[in-house]
Amino acid sequence: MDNLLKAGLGLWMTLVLVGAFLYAPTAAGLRELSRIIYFHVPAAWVAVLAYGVAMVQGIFYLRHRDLRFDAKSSAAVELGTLFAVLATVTGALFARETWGVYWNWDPRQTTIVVLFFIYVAYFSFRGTLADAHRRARLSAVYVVFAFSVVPFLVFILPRAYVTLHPSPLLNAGGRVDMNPQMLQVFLAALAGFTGVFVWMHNLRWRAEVLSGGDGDGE
Amino acid sequence: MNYSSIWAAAVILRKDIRTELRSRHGVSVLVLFGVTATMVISFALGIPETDEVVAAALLWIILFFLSVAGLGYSFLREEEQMTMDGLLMAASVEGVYLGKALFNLLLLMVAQGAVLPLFILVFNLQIGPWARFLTAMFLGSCGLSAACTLVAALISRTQAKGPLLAVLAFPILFPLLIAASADTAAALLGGAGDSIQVLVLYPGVVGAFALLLVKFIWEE
Repeated sequence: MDNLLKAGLGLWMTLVLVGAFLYAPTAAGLRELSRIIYFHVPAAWVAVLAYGVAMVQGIFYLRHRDLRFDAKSSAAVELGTLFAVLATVTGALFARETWGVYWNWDPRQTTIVVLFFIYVAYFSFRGTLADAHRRARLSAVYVVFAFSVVPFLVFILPRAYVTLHPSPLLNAGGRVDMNPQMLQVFLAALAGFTGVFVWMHNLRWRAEVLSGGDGDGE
Repeated sequence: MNYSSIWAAAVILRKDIRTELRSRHGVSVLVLFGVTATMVISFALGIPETDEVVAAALLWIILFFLSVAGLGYSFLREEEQMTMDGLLMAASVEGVYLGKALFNLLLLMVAQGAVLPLFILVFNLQIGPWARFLTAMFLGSCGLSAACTLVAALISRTQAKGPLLAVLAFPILFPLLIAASADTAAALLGGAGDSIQVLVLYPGVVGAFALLLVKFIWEE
């Protein structure tokens, strides 16, 4: 069953790749550049999803004091770091081609960078804690505390600054500005990236539990 | 969090002020850091006419590093002198956080009392509406203290005491620093900034998270 799921995921991601380059049409004005949406947006989504998982598992640890929740939380942060880097780099490439500069502190760029800094800080903090339960508890406190910046990043700063970022799929108007083929590939890519995250996360946290919970990544 | 916590916070604030008056270690670190940073920047720029936006950004960079250099001290002192356990026996942990946060706010305000006049002087700044400028300073300090006090509490529980506060506090302080420097720049330019809502909400939101989480830091 497990192998079947893995094979299915591999097939699915292959289809997403093929679909992204061969099946989906390009958007008017952006030409081939528009294909980045099938990789950049899912990567950013997974980076944010990973933070959600890390926080929820952190809260579970604080409630139940089971080190497995800590392993799940820290594994999510590890993967979140990876996907935050991917989203930042692909976003910067897109920004260079469409806006002329790699970086301009667009609210969305700001958000992903703050997320990345939270992840990096989380690991430098974990590295200073030797006792497994204390490390789990204090890491969980930090990851939940970091959530206090979310309302500012999501609701307040984007309104204070103009953005050039293309509006997200679920924009204020609730409209979907994509043609059906693009939407199919886009949703398939979102599902595929989420599947890859779930699979990698599952491997990572179980490996951490098997290593006795005192390995911090190695 | 209840009435007795607020009472405990006031008592801890008074105790910390009294300890501080004996050694003046915390406040001297903050003031000297602020003065040194201001002089270094002024020397490096070398020009009396400074762009207001740049000046506001520089001021908040100084205040950020000043906070991460000095605000960890009040918890570290308790851990080093092994008085933290006694403090937790005498007061609720929320009261301890609140008292330390108020003390850190006071430290920041005293340090600004020394640093701000110097900064305004060497950069030859014309403050537009003073009320706006001081409001941005005060609310920004509340935010710095609310966030740094909790992170300092976390760090006092680790082996490493060095530059970790800057690393851990930076992403959390990010929205505050953007809003505070935007509002300070607006005040220097003579207008009203549009980030005041962030400055008002930030200490409240971050303080509420801190009060919810602080009880997990010392329990074992």
